[in-house]
Amino acid sequence: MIVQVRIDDRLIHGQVALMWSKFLDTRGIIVANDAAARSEAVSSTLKMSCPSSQRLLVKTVDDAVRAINDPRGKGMRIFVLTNCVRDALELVRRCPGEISEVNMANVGRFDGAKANEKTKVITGVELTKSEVEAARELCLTGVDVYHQTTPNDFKTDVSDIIGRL
Amino acid sequence: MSEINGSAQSSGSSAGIERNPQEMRVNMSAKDLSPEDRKMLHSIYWRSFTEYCFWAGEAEAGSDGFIYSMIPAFRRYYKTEDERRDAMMRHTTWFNMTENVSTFVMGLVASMEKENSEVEGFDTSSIDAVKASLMGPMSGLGDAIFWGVLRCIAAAVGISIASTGSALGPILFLLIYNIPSMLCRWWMTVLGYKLGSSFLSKAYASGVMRILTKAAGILGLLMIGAMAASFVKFSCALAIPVPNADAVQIQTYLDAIFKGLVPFSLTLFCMWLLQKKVNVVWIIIGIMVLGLVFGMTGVVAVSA
Amino acid sequence: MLGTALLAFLAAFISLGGNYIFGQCMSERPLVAGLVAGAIFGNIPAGVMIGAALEAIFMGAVNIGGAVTAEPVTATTLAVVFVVVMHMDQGVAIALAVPIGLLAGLFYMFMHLSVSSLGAPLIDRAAASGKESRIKLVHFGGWAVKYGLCCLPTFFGVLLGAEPVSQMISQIPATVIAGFTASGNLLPAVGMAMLLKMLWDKKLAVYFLLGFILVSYLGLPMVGVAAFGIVVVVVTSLRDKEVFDLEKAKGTTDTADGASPAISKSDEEAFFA
Repeated sequence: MIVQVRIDDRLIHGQVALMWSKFLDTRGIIVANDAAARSEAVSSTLKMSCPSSQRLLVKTVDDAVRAINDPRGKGMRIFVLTNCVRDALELVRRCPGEISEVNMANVGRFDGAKANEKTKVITGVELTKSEVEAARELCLTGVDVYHQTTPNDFKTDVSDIIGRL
Repeated sequence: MSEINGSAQSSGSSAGIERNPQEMRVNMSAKDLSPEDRKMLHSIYWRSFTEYCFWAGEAEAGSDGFIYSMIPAFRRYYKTEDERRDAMMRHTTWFNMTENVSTFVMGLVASMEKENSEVEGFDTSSIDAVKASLMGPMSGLGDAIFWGVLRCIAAAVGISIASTGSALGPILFLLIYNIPSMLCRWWMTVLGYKLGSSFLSKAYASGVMRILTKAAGILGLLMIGAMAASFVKFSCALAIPVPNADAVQIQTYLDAIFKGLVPFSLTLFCMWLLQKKVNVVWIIIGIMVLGLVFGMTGVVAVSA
Repeated sequence: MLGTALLAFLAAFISLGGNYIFGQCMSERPLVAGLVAGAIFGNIPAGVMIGAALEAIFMGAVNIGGAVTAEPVTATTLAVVFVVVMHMDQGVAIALAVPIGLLAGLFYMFMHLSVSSLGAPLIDRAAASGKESRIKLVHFGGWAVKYGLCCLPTFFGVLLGAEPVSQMISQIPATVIAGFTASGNLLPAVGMAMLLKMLWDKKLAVYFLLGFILVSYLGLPMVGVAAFGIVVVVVTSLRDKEVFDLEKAKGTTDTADGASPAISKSDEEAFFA
């Protein structure tokens, strides 16, 4: 079962690796990212920084959809990582019933777009126009959409803010 | 989402992972590089010490330090002001990595900028992509090894010697932490420049990285245990009066169960509270009050 | 008091600002801040001891992930000033340093977020000019301003706090002093707990117990524990490597390591197994 889909433009890094896997008591992490799955260098570095207690799959978004819908994952607590809202939306749409919450932790910090072309939803979440649209649709799917950087932080619901954008 | 295209492939990631563990014996020496290469790397190395001295806000983070450190590379590979300006603007993107491993990315970017200056039609977005993808995972390892373990060991040694009033304590702390840190920083610069990202694939395939992380965990926990035993002090001064005999010291009984029972349990209890998401400020206040009560009522023996 | 305040500011600036100029060399940790403040105020042993006590308490207060829990330099410098210049009891100073550190942490976080956010447009303009001198100006000028501001709490802490503090010192009864000292002895448990939480792993938890036993029963000094730890780690790592190589040869590595990611079916099998 997918305990959380996290949108983090840095995918796995110090915080995510250590804190969240312990906090959510997960057995495995699925990284859903086309570029990462296709690049040797990036997949290896992701696997390196994955904690030894967690199993890991680095998949393209399509393959990740398959993995999330896989019945073998029903009893297993899994954490899913993507790096943009569009990908998260894909996952929610194509894995009906599997995902109940999406955490927009860090988005858009280095997608190369200029600061004035992006809308800041909350600190650390900056969305380009297409991302804003994806975010709106994500909120409409009915999943919980919130922002929580580390387990110690407050969980801020962002669906209102997105609705008003 | 920018894809890592062919240009990035040429900077080092090999088509298949080398499974031969012998490949891991990498040559970390800079001696086989040209003198100009070495001079540039030295310059990048020293500049990298100032990486986070300012901070361009949450939007661009350590970009100012990154640009400042990379200037030797820009100067070397780009002869016109326009090209240099483009290079600088390219690197105003968000950057935050554990400082002592960040030089790997700097070396790597230097080699990519070199290629960019030599090859027509080089896709510069691959430089951004590589930076963005390496930042996260390498920082994860770097944080665990340097901020977690090495700092613990250095601090443990430092605190125990400094508690006696000797200035050797802080000095040893600085040495134990900084010597490996500075060495790592240099090796990372050379490795990033020479080997590119294929080095990481090979390292990963040999299983070394996971073993390193586990080793860091073991050593870290060991040191924290040692520190808890040394630095959390509790000595019960209470005694139960026994008629016609010497009063029974409660501390003796505590020690008989487990020496250091109270510090051990208290530390684990605080950790449990933290895991239950109790705000650390409350825990601090709680412990302070507890200590005050113990001290004021004479439960605890306190040496001056 | 102005002179003392200025010296305190200098001490704090050396530790805090110096940390970031010298590659995050850890000079912002209480151990070093205590040495610096002790040296400036002429009592190194006291400074170093205060630094040691506060280091144990603030060990877990590191800014990984952007959240600032406490700012130890202000706390340590002020504690040293209180003890060395105003003759406050060391135990009391250490206990007081904790809330000071927390408050200073809030101030530091505010500085870090607000002042530095001015940095982004500045660096953009400097980069757009293509001139190295402008980059240097933003980078180093920004440093001086930012850390100068961050050391202000220390400055004002001495300037404004001296009077109330010295009055307080003369009025504290011995039992309260004992209480504060006991607090200072127990507080490291929190620092250790924060660290512990960061590194905790159920499978490796036993090593926490081992480290504790090595000190409490065997009385090993820290260097001894570290050396012992290195031996343990080398032995377990060599064995882990053997196991890893064996498993790879058999083709059964499960978790994050192992075969090329191109083989999708077998790594999914391993994942869901």
